[in-house]
Amino acid sequence: MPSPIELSEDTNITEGLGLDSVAVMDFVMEIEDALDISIPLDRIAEVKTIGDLIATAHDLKGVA
Amino acid sequence: MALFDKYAALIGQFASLEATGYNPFNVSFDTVLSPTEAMIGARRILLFGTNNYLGLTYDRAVIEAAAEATQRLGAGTTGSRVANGSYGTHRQLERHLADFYGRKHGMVFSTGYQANLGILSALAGKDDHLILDADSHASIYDGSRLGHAQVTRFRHNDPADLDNRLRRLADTPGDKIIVVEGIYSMLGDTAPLREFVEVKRKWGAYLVIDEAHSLGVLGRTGRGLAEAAGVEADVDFVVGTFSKSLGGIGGFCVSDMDGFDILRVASRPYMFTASLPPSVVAAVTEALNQLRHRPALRQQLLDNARRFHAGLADLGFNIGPEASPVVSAIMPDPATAFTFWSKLLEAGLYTNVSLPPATPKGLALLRSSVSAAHSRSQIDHAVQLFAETGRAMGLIGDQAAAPPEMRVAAQ
Ligand SMILES: Cc1ncc(COP(=O)(O)O)c(C=O)c1O
Repeated sequence: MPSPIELSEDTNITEGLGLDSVAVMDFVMEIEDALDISIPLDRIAEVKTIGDLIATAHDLKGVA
Repeated sequence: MALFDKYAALIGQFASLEATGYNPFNVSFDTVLSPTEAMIGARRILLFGTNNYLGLTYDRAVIEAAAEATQRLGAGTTGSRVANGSYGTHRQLERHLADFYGRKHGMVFSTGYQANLGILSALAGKDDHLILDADSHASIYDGSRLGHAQVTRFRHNDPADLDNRLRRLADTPGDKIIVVEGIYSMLGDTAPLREFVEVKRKWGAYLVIDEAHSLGVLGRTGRGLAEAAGVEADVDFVVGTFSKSLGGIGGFCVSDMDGFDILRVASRPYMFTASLPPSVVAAVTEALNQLRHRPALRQQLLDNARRFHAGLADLGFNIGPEASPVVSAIMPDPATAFTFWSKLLEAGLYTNVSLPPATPKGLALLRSSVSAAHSRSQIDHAVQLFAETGRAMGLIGDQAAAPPEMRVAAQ
């Protein structure tokens, strides 16, 4: 088992979670399902950290 | 900081492949002998990694048409379709394509890649939505980025996920355009088109299908997956290429949509590049003619695909379930794929290595493709080389496979 990772808003999704580009796409799809949103490709490209992802999801959900 | 520093990782990978003496991304054939054989230096290579599905590159009538057109109309057009580069033969090919597909309109592009760029960027405007299968070809992704539409993707071949995506967009203004492929080029799988069509109808979306690998391969008359699935009336735009079953180069789009011709002055990849040379237009026109009038070619292709697919399946390779002309063996990792590939080439068999991000699910693939021009003995020889190499590398077990005649009979 890999050691547990402490997540924060600054955690980088690729390096911090050890995900390659293919795994990131799968990860994003899971988030999209869970939140019932679709994140456009140009918005995904801008997401680097967990914090970015939260902000993007809030924005798409219309939550301030 | 040097200009190419950003490619450091890629440069390292490329250099280590070059060092092996066999770089799958840097092969060149010194002579091509036929649709199925070429020479590298003094070595004769059996080709199982082309897209020459119907073997038409050496068809006598195709070659004669190309030569005659060069004599009559010159080597190139030196201009775009919207300037000096439209010849009667371009128009004629567009009419032939429209006629073949039973559609009102046809448009020819200089490559299949540009057909996707030109169609997707022009169909979807700023407030529209492109919804792509996640495993779409690079040209579909690039075409989507060239335009100004919002782009989202759904899980590969998953109608329920497509339905979800369209539901989420239901209250958003703008047209919704779904893009799928007929046969996917990496694993040779086909789209569940009937289910996609139901979803499309439910939400009032448009549907584009790229039949690049299915033209001349699927359907009663070879029009592709939409014909095979019986849903052509629900497909709004068919995109395709001349570079695979038609053995040339170029791309096209056909449609019944009123006003289609406005794309000729709205689609930048159509307007701002030179048109196809007369030789190519003539060769493709003749190849289309052969495709239409020689259904036996398609039957031969499918027989060959079944024979090769069954051969690799019986050996225990991990391959897709559908016997399509694209047969990919899933390798445990990229290094194994490279070693396997180079051993096959050493033994005189050319195949393709496909790696992420071009492949689905991050798979390392040893991709082969079959042609109608392959003989039975060529197919059996290729299977034999897969068997020897796979056993030597410990990728498959040692049991002798059933002789090919029995396998095919058992299907
Ligand atoms: C699905 C798909 N679309 C488009 C293309 C581009 O076609 P071309 O190579 O003829 O430009 C290809 C192949 O390269 C493809 O596989």
